[in-house]
Amino acid sequence: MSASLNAVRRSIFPADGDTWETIAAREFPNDDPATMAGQLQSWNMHVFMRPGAAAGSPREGNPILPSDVIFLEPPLAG
Amino acid sequence: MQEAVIDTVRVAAAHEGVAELVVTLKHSNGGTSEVALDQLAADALLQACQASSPEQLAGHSWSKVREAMAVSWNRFSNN
Repeated sequence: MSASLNAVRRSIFPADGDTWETIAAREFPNDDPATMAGQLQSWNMHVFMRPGAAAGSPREGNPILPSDVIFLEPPLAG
Repeated sequence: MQEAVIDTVRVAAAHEGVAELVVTLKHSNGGTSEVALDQLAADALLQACQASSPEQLAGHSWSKVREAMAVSWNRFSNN
């Protein structure tokens, strides 16, 4: 049991104003940002499933909060 | 890195017993995650995958799941 707890998924805290695309461009500079944005969404269902900010608000449509943990790799295999 | 694909699907009871489709995605490293789709999203996914039953969804990509979810989320959009 202790061995499995040593494996930690790479993650970040978002920068101010971060979107899926800005995180993808910064963390995966050698890959297509649009493709990696889709990957990030699939790796972060806890954020992706959240409703985006209301229309007309500063973060309109963006579900990412500054306090979120954003994983940079898929869920670990069991 | 290859995007996730649908591994398995199952029907589950959501709020007030309304059926939802729980999709298990398998990622390139073997890890899995689950996402629940309401009826509108489930129907959109079946249509996008040209599937007549949930069992035929296996192997389809995460991008189709995401697009199906957008159909449900945008149902109240005025656009």
